[in-house]
Amino acid sequence: MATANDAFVAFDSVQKSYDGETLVVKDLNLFIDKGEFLTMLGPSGSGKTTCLMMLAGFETATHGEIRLDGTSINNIPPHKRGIGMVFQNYALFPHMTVAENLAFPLDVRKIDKAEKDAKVARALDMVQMGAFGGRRPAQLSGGQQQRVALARALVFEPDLVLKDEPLGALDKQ
Amino acid sequence: MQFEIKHIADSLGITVVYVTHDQTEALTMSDRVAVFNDGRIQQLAPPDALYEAPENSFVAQFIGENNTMAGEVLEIAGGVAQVRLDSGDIIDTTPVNVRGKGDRTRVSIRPERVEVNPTTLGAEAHTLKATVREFIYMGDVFRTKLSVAGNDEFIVKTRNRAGQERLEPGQTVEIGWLPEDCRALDA
Ligand SMILES: Nc1ncnc2c1ncn2[C@@H]1O[C@H](COP(=O)(O)OP(=O)(O)OP(=O)(O)O)[C@@H](O)[C@H]1O
Ligand SMILES: [Mg+2]
Repeated sequence: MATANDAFVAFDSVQKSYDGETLVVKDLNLFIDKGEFLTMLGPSGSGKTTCLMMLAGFETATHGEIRLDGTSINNIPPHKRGIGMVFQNYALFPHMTVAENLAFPLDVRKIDKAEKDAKVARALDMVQMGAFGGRRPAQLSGGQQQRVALARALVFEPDLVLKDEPLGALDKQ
Repeated sequence: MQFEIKHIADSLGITVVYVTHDQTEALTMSDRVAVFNDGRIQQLAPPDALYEAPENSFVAQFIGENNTMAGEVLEIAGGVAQVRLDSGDIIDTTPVNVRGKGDRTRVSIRPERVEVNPTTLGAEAHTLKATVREFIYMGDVFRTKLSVAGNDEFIVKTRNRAGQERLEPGQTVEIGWLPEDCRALDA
């Protein structure tokens, strides 16, 4: 099991306050192995999304250090962290086709056309959406849109994927 | 969809940090689960350890279904905490986060670890009298609500196996469990 020194993802004494007063994350020490599937579970408002947002780089830790593969990422912007994200508020672009949505993160990374097409096709195949590349998001079911969102997170072959499943009808609390 | 991410992550060696409110998903897909409450991790453990060996009352209550009974520790010796429930019944439990005599505790037992007519459990099993309040047929399992030691919401889950008795409200039965499945947690 991962320790502070060899963890792939390390939250080291991390605290977070949004208002400078209340800590919504209190002294988080969490060390995640490479290849591990780690789930955060807890009641509404317990700090789960805040932790993901800090790891993704959309929020900064008030205290402590977050490391990815041994390197502190406190000062690295989100798009340079190499993290695939499937977040609710990270919607698909409605005016683009599914394939264009997937190609978009690759455009930012300047990859040539043939390689880009191959990566898009591979990512769509992984989620069994290979036949839907030409559709727009509005022409897909909710579940299919979710798959495309996952494919978009996978398309640039990240080592780390974050997924935030919002509170839904399923919740028993 | 949710399992897809698990299979893809496994086959590509990707690390996943996943936030969900679906406990079944969390228990079935994760290598480890971090249970959060109020900005802190309450327990970080593989699914089976989390479910079978919750370290505090919060986790026991939050994960899955759970019966609790309040009481006071009489003695802790040889890995067993003797607890006098508020109903007066005295039972053997596994001490988890109680320190000693006089500590208030909530003892916790999973509904599927309780046997009705506990002849199958052996001599070390604990038995208590219970009154059936409600019988709920769920197809694969039966959910029976009982009054036990002052707890009127005590749930027992039994598999719908061949010949399994369907209890009737008002019926008095004996229920039992193994002391290791009954955990003395913080009050
Ligand atoms: N941008 C923000 N500004 C101020 N407070 C915030 C902000 N985001 C979250 N909070 C507060 O921080 C606490 C933790 O919120 P967070 O979103 O991390 O919880 P969560 O565990 O993801 O909850 P849920 O299960 O409802 O998604 C809450 O009290 C919330 O109100
Ligand atoms: Mg959230």
